[in-house]
Amino acid sequence: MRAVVLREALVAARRPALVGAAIVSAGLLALFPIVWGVRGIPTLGGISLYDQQFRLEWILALVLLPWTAARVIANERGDDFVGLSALTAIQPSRLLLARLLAATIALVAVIAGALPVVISAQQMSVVAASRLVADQLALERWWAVALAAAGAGLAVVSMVPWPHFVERHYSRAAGTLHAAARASTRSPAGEQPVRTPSSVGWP
Amino acid sequence: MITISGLTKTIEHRTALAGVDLSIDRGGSVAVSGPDREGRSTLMQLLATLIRPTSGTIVIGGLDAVADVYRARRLLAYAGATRILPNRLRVDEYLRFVAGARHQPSAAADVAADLVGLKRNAPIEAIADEARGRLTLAAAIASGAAVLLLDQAFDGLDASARDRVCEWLVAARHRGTVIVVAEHEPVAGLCDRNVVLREGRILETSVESPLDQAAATRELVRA
Repeated sequence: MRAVVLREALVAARRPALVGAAIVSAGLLALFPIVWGVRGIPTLGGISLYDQQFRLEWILALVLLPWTAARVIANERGDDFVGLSALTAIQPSRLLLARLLAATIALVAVIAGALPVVISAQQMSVVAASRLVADQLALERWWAVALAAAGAGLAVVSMVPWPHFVERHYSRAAGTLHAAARASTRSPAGEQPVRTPSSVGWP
Repeated sequence: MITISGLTKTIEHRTALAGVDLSIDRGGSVAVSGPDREGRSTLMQLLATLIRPTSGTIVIGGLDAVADVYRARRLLAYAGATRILPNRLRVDEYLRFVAGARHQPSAAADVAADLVGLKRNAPIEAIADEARGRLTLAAAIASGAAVLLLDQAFDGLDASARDRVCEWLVAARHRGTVIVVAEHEPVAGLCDRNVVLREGRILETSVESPLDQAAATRELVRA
């Protein structure tokens, strides 16, 4: 399991999306006080620069983190995932958990990358450090829960013996399509062979 | 170590395998040969637990490989038609990952890379598609599995790498590893039994004489 987590983390760390997301997140948060000054957006009077920036951080998190999570994980899907499971002799659910853990670490890194900027805003707005810590933990906890829920669903699905499940349903679907094609047309195109699992490289 | 009985596989109304029986002892090796689409790769994929038989049983190391897929996989390593995605990893990183997942020392990964003639620090995406087969074979070797299933795994190897791998496989057999090789033609000196598949059935089984084997092994070592 350790080897898989290390591999997934290595893959995530080498994806340009991780660095890109961290730069965009920190950059936009840094631009906020530069553009609006230490009081923030005037129409949002009554709340400090820190509070305004924290809202921006949430919006950025909502946009950037799902994109980052999708872009940093390793590429294996479907058949390739089954192949990876067979090669490593590790159940797909465990591979998914390792992938999930690596994605979580990557998202925490994106949030943590913006911390210097957020701390600057907290200093400018004279907000207690304890509140900053609580806010950031809440942000990260929210994403951890969201990821865990998604991962749990995937892990449960992965417990189905994939090769057999996919093969059975793929064969059935291919057979149905073939029958429908034959019924709908008598042209040579209707007689083309159905792609079987082996002909499409299904391992 | 491996016992197959009455193994049948039907794909889209075509019988790929029709009642195959085969038994391989610990340290044994079998070369499965025959024309394309006559059941060779299907047999290998069934043994690798990648597809499920229509009927029949596969017992590997005392485990029912049809019902107990995940435990059986711990005993197996398959080098065949599986894709390896680069994921921005290097050859050594990938092989160490496989070795680590199988609780093998990382030295096993280095040995495997050297055997198949891959540069350890080469990025996987820089390896040509036809050479990716080498990586699949190296991964199987690095896994340290008790049963190696090599489905046309020698295709991407040059002559010297092929000899090195054959030599290593012969030594692995002596340590008790079971080797099943599927090729168009049997690999000389590697297996003690040849099985020819035609239309999903075992057409003939021949046993290589110890004399032939010894001569072929000497030839391999000399090369």
